[in-house]
Amino acid sequence: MSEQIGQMARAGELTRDAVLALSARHAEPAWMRAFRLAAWEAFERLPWPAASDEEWRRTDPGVFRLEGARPGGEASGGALPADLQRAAAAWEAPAGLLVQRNSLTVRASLDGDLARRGIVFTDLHTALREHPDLLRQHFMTACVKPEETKFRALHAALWTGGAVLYIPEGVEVTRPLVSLTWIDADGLDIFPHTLVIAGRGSTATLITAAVSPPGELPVFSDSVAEVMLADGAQVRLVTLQEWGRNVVEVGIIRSILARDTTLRSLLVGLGGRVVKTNVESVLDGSGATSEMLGLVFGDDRQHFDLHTVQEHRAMHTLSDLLYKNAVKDRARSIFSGLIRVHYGAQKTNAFQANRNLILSEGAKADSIPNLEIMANDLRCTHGSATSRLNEEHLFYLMSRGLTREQAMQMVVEGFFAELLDRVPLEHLRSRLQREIEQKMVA
Amino acid sequence: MAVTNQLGIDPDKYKWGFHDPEKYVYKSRKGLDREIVEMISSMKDEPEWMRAYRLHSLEHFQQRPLPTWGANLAQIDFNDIYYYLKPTEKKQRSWDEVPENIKNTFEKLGIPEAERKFLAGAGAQYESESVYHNLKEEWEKLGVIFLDTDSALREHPDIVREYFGTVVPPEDNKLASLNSAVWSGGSFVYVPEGVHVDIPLQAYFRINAQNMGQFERTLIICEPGSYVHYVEGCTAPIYTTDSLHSAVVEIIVKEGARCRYTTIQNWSTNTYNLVTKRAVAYRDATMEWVDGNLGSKLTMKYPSVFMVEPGAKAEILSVAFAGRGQHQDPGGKVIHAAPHTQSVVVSKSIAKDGGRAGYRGLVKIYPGAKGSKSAVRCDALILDDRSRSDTYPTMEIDEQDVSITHEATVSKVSDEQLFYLMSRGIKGDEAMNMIVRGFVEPIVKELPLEYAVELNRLIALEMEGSVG
Amino acid sequence: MADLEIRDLTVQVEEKVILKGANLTLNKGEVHALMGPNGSGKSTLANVLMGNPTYQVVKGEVLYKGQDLLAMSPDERARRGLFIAFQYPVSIPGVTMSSFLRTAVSARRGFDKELMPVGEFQKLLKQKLDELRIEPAIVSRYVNEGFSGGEKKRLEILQMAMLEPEIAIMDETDSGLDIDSVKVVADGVNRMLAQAKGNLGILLITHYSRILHFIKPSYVHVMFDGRFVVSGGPDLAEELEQSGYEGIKAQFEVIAAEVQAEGAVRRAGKVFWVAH
Repeated sequence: MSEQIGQMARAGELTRDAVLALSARHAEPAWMRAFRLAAWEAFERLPWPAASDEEWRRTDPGVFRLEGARPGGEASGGALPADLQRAAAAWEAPAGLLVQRNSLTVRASLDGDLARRGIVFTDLHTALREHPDLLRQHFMTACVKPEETKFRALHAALWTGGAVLYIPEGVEVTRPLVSLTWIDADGLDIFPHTLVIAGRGSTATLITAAVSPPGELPVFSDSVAEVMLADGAQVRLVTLQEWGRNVVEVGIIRSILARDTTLRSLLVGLGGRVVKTNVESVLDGSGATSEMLGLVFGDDRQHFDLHTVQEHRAMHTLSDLLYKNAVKDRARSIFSGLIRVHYGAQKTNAFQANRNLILSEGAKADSIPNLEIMANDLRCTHGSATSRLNEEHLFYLMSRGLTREQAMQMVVEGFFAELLDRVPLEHLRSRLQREIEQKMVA
Repeated sequence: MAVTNQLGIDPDKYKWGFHDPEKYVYKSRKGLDREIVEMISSMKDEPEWMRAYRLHSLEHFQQRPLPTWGANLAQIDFNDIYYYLKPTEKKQRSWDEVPENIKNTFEKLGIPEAERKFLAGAGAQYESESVYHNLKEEWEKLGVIFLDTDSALREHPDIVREYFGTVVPPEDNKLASLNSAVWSGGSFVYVPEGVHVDIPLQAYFRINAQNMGQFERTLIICEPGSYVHYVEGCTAPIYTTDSLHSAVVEIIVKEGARCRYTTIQNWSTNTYNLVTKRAVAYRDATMEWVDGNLGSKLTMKYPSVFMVEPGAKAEILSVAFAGRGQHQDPGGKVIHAAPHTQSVVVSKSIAKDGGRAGYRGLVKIYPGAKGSKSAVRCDALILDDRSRSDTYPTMEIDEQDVSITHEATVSKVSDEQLFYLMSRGIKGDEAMNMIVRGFVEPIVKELPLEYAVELNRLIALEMEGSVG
Repeated sequence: MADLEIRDLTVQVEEKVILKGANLTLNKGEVHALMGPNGSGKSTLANVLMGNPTYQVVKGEVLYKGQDLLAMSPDERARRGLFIAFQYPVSIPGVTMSSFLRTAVSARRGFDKELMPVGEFQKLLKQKLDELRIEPAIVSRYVNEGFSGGEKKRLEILQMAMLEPEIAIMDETDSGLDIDSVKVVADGVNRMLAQAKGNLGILLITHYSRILHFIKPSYVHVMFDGRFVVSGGPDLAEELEQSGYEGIKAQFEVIAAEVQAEGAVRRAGKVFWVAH
């Protein structure tokens, strides 16, 4: 592992000086500079993950090499590429749209009425200038902390771009807010951050889309999303990952749910080469409900390692998780999920289901659904099933005149339909159906 | 009212907590090194290959770190253990010849009576050595061999050498290396082709001395088309210091054969029970593990079946009960390495009085193991709000043409069920007892009647005082 | 002293008041039918009488042979001769019907340390199975697990026959049964009444009057919204069959509007319990 650090040092970019330069370029206040430096020190101090660590047994940590490192936030110049313009326009009338290209904001809009009602929806740099207290209070302080892992520390030291969504108490936003992250510079290292602060009784839907056109040189993404729901808040969060195959990503999405909150989250994993994502819900207040959905479709040699945690810390909490992974060609998916019910978290309902569909010879799906239960008055179940395409279903469809390819596609769509039926966002649904279709043909 | 010792164990409740005065032919000093291993080998007058095997295993044991997953093993002081205790000069075939004090122990445990009544053969191990092994004549005539493993090494050296360590190599894990270095006793079972031993063989393991380590080694070979049911039971006295039991069991189930291995583990609650059990199943062979864990301080035991040829089947039935101060970490592994192999795992665990029980398992499907099926079901019952249940299944599936399911539930005893039983006049504690017995019934019903009764009795004992 | 006396019983479930001051007196040898629309509190009353922990008594008392019934655990109530045939019997996996029955009968008959001898139990069981025309194989299955609705109800009656209660509450035992099954159940109950020679009292809770053609009640009570509103003789059941709950409700509302004070109002052979 020391070899990797050596490589980074040679690249001349990932150094303490680079951290200072980054902070200076954005003219950050002293506290943020100090925060970055402390995180940098934590990064230097913390060990690299080893293949023998339980969490890294199935994903080679060496994949996340930081060769040729180039923390982003630089202007690419010129007009926006047509693909990006199309990607930005794809979302019909969002309440707000934030578009970042290579970590630099290129478009930001927010419904004027919402802006007047105190909603903040902008990149982190702008938020740091305009709402410093908000960031000082919430940015990597209570939800995800820099010292947790080497990658989180690195993220805290080098974050750029990012998105902040703040919904004041009682404000309800019906249309979705969309944050689009676009990467088209090869060989970049990016550290996208999403910070959601939902005030008491507020309601919002946030869609984050990570997209990049096919590229040549490896891109490393180290992402963190923090979602905090104050009492009674209701948030829907869709995380759409459509990276090009040159991207490797390690990331975490963690949500903390206070009393009587509802979080409905959907993770969609379609792109990237090697992607390791943690999705964690901490149910901290009684009456909290967390729906956690996951849709992963891997083809070629894609590798998805998904680790979920349903952490019940309070009584009368509900979590309901369903992850569906399909793998094709030589792709591999890993679902490892943990339900942990703490002492005293009685009257808890915790459900976890993982369904895997193996579409080709050579594809792999691992499933590790774990339970750690320290309360007795609860309902807790988990289930996992892995199977191939059902030949009888295929035969039935083909007997009605469908080609084998059409039939397979229909069965795969059916496999994911159970998930998509639970996400009432029509545009998203048709978009995902198209992408699943493309994957089937590829 | 019984005096509760510092471990929080009520000696009155654990029926087998008595111990005999220590009277040994030989007692090694505490601790483990090359000298001890060579002494064990020479006292047993073993062939050179076994001596070398032991020393190689010791080296591996010394180099290998303790596993860091699962339970905390750091409390075990491997230097504070007696690795070899020889209770008697000779192993006997008649209970009359077994030394009086040892015989009394086994009489109290009901072994000779069970042997007369319903066993094809019985073995008894006391500390490091087997003191009794006997197979009824009718089975001996059919060529069945049932010996302690030391005797087997002397009397059937070729068979032992052919199979010993082939299923669980000494490098497999730290505790397996330890056993491979200092093993003593255990059973050797050989069932010739086509022979069905239709009543069980039983071995009983007893630790008596304080700070004792028991390291039996069992090897079972089922020739094609044969059948055997091997049952083991175990107990130990309660001391204030911990004992260590670390066995290795290797089973070879050849074409079309079937082997069932049943354990009723009731070590005292100061025993570390760290056991490696593994079977290889060939074409159309069936291996069944029935594993009941009630005793011990900590049990880590994951009976495994490697299905290496088409049509092999595995079944693992596991019951665990963890009471105060106990951590039961049992489970199972099914390895599908050939097409059309099938496995079923059913686990039932109960945690009470702050105990921790659960299931840890692996389903592995290798590429090419087409048409394989695996179904795992884990149910846990938590009887109070201080206890804990863990489920850690892992499924690694590298083949497309498979059907794999895993289901788990964690629940408490439902108030509705309790009320229903009580509304018929059944008292609260008995109602609780019935529900818990019903919970484990799918596994208990797989046991021969005598063991089913024993297991239910042990569960009833554990359940005492559940409803305040 | 009445055998069962319910006074002003008020009961809630999870902070919702279901039963709002019920009064009833029932003696051995009597059959009381308790009728009412769904959700009127009939099952709540049955469950509370047996001590179901889900229900909390807020107010009132119940005397069983002069003693405080509510202070007794459910098993004690059962051992003293109270019985309930549940509307929805729960299943208990892994526990066979026969071992459950033997334990329960032993408890009722005062076998303290040991169970009733197998031979004696088997004889009793066979007799009751024959009387109720129940397939003997069913008792080797797990308690209510995988039973059809009809099987569950018949097994409740089998338990009643085995336990020989003094006061039995039958909670909609007829619902979900076809007419032949209703008749078998009713025959069984009538046989028990005859055999008990005045030592069995029944509170027959039902939604429909159908079963009352087979088991003749001495009294009929009607509940609405957690209260007893009308009591009468067997005629009341017939009247209900004619006019439905709506008809009775209309009569009650007229009387309640006329009468200012709370209490019993006798009209047309019925007693209306007015509460304001």
